[in-house]
Amino acid sequence: MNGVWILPILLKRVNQTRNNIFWKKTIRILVLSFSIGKGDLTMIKKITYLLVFLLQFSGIILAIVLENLSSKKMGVARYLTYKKQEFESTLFTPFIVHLLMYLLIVGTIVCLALLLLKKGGGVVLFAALVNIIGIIFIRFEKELQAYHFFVLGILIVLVIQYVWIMYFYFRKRRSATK
Amino acid sequence: MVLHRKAILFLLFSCLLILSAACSNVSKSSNEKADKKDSTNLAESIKTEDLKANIGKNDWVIVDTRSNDAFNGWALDGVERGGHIKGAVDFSANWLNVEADQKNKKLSDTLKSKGITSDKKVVLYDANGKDAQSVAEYLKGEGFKNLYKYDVKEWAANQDLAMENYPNYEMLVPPAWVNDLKTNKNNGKPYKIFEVSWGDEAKDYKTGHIPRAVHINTDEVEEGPVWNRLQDQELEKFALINGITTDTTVVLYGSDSMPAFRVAVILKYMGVKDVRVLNGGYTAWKNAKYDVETKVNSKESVPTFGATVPANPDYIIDLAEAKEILANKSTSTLVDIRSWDEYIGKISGYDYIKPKGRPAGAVWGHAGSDSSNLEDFRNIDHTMRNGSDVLAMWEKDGINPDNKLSFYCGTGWRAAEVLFYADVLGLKNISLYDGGWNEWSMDSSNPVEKGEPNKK
Repeated sequence: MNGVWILPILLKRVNQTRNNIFWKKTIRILVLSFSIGKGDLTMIKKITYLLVFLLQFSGIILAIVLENLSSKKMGVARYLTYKKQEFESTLFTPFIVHLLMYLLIVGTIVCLALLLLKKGGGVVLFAALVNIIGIIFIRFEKELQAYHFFVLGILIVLVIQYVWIMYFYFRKRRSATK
Repeated sequence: MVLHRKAILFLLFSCLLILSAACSNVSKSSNEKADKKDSTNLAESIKTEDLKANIGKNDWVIVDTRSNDAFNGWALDGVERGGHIKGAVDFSANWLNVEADQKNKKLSDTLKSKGITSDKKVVLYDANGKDAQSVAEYLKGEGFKNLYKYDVKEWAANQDLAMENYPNYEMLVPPAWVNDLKTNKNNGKPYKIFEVSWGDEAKDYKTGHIPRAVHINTDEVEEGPVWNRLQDQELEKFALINGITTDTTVVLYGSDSMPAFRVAVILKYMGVKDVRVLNGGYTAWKNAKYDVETKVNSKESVPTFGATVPANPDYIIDLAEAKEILANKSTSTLVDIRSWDEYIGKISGYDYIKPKGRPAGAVWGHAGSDSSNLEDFRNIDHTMRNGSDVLAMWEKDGINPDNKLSFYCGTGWRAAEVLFYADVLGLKNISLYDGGWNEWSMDSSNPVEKGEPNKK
């Protein structure tokens, strides 16, 4: 439902910043993420965007729900304590966490470089933001009960965002070669 | 003349009408009286001598219809001696007012399990003149015919007549006792009332609690991932923060009593001498219609505990001692207080425990339908089940109460409640294996069994 309310505001912003290509692209990507009613999209595209949006943020939504329930339900709190221990010995060993940090730093640098070279739009900016949020999260939010679920959620967002970047990059190249 | 005759006829007719109306009133009132007699006298009274003569006969059953606390040992309702008539079974009138799923089936099953059947002569006794009547009405509806009523005050007044109570029945307290404790302020001795449940948010506590009660979050005494009790120094800190010393009378309760039993067992292990749990939990307090408050009471700390923690170290044991118990099967038993499905390894019972099975050599001691329930040890109103029933159940399971018994479950909550009941019943050499199946299953080198045990 939020998408319906946000859409007109974002479209208005697009018109206001018509001359600024950078912002135009940024907001258009956000509109693509949120919209379910933009006129020039076919129904299949709309549904696809919605599904991709849900998929992209599903991990984060799950983590928020678990974190919220961890203070209300003992079973959830204990499950998260158990998963924390399990993750620390499997997916999130100190080595992997360090590796992940370096990858996020490299990702941030690459995204910022692309932005500086004006080779990326909103998708790249969003990826850079997610990278930075990921670094902050890994470094400072270890006390959260659903910490590892948040990190996994952020990684899912990032991976799908990179897929978006590739998609837009190849689409742009294809249209340039035509 | 004609007029005169008409007047006589009119008078005669009027007399007839009045007479018939009077007769119908008389018959109606006599019917009402009979009905009333029927409803107030569902069971005829029985004399003490007759009751004494028939106790123990196969076709007689003596039923205590009072509260579970009175049955356990508390002298309530002006009775001279607490406890129940030796040989009596319990079927409390309170159980009839409980709201529960499949209540009728549960009550019927309870009657059957206690040998209260319609082919027997059933003596219902109480001390307030109401409980036996309520149960008599219920039994009448179930097809019982031979019902007798008895006032237990007569029995209790005669010291020659045998009454039984549990050796440590004072550990489980009735709401009236807690109310008296508040009123007389424990005769000047220190006391604390705690509502125990999981979480800092204390939803149950904020909804309503016993006046002056303070909330204890179970995370104050245990921590994951094993969910064992905290280190002794940490436990001492917990006691100091909550204002508990070895001499404090501590009363614990909760909407679900299991967390209260968990903390009670830990406090006894630490060395608190007088630990009580409200029998039947917060529901019992509300049903007794005592005051309730919603104000959040803050913890009042004390500077010293009064003993080195643990003062009662044998009350809770760990993995090494649990292994010793399993190694000495002739004199000791590790008793599994989990559901049958957990015991045979069909399920683990918990989202956060993946392995299934049991420590090799552990004996099943009953529990309930799942990891949150303990129906085999509780009555329908969540009070403690009749001790004789519990011991008979364990005898069938092959558990000798004279042995050294250590109870365990998944993480020590259900087993703590059963340990407390065993303590109420006066069993010696009893303990809680704190780590339970969670700790045991974490080390793959610990021997594990699955499936139904081999009966030798």
